[in-house]
Amino acid sequence: MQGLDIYGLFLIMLILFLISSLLRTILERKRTRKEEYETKTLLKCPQCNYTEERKFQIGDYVLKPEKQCPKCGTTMRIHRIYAVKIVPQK
Amino acid sequence: MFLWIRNIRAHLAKIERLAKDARARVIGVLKKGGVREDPEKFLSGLLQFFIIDPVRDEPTNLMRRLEHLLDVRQHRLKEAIKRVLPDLGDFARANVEIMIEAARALDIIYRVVRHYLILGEKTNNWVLIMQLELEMPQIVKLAETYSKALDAFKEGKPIGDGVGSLVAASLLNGVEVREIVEDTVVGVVERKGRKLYVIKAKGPGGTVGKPGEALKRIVENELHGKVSRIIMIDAALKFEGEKTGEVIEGVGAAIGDPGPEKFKIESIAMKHNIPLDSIIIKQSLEEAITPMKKEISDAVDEVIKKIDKCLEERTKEGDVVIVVGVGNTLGIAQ
Repeated sequence: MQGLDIYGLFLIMLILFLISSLLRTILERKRTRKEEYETKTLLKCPQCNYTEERKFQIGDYVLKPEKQCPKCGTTMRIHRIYAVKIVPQK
Repeated sequence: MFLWIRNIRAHLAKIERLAKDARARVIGVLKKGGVREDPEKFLSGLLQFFIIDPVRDEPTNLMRRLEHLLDVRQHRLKEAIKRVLPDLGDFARANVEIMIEAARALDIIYRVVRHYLILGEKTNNWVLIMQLELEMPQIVKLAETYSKALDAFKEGKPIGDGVGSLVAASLLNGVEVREIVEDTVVGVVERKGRKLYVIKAKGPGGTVGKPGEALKRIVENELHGKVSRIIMIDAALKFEGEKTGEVIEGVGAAIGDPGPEKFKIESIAMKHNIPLDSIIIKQSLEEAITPMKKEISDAVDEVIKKIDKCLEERTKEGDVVIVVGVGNTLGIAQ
């Protein structure tokens, strides 16, 4: 009878341990959500180095001539296209 | 073993879903481009298209034989796409080509995993099943990466692997270029009093060009071996824990092709005794085939600083230097 109690206690502890590890795994999974990225296009004026960032549009490519520079009027070109991490709003 | 098999099946179902989704996305692009054949049948033919490795026991002309087979494969693929999508421009067709390559990679992953699962079950080989079970998280991650890459290819966004091309494009900065080899351009710029021949793949369509052949032609036919230095720039796989976008210098041909292009670069450098420098930009496999992260894009300025330092320290004014920007030039012109 005494031995059975020890085994019973051990079994309860094991079950509690398994439940707690399961909960911890679920919580960790929720915490490590997949990072999301957004692609941006950076325009640059070759004359005065004025830059402007906007959302990527299909058809954009690096060195593509774009609009006129608001500062000096030279045709701006796409300088870089890159993905930036989206910061979740609180 | 039963639990392992059940787990592998669950992962395999996910890979199958990704492969089917990739197929559907490619078919969507083909339809949008005005495909002239049944898109399903056309894509099925290309997904299972194979290349037989040349005999490696006899090394004579191995690189030339491999290059020949790769060229034939590339031309077959290009011509097939041109035949069914004649109204599409060259750059859009190049993007369809790399989308098919990504869908093909997913299809291969799915078929290989399914093969080993069925084989393990049939032969009751628990070692095979256990190996597959342990490898599954990495295999699924690889499949997810190819699936994500498809979006970048579809929209023509520059990918991490294109950072070498981006450096070359920044050096050229819109100067006149000429197509020296198919899909590969070269432009000449002056920098720090040195004459720079800058080689890159022809953008903004998704292609890697033939930088080795371009370098060979410039060194042998145009400059007759009178080159002070060759500087190669490419993306390189980082180890886990390393920083993305880290710029490192070394020596050797920085290019990740199946062999022929690298062999040509090494041979030319050795034949004319030209020092071969390389600059790499570290990134993971996922980062290399998905839209270029800002950290990688920001590394371009640092690479250019290193090129300038190399020119000042290891060459003289008036020297001729060749800079090769290696990588897929998707979304990057010249």
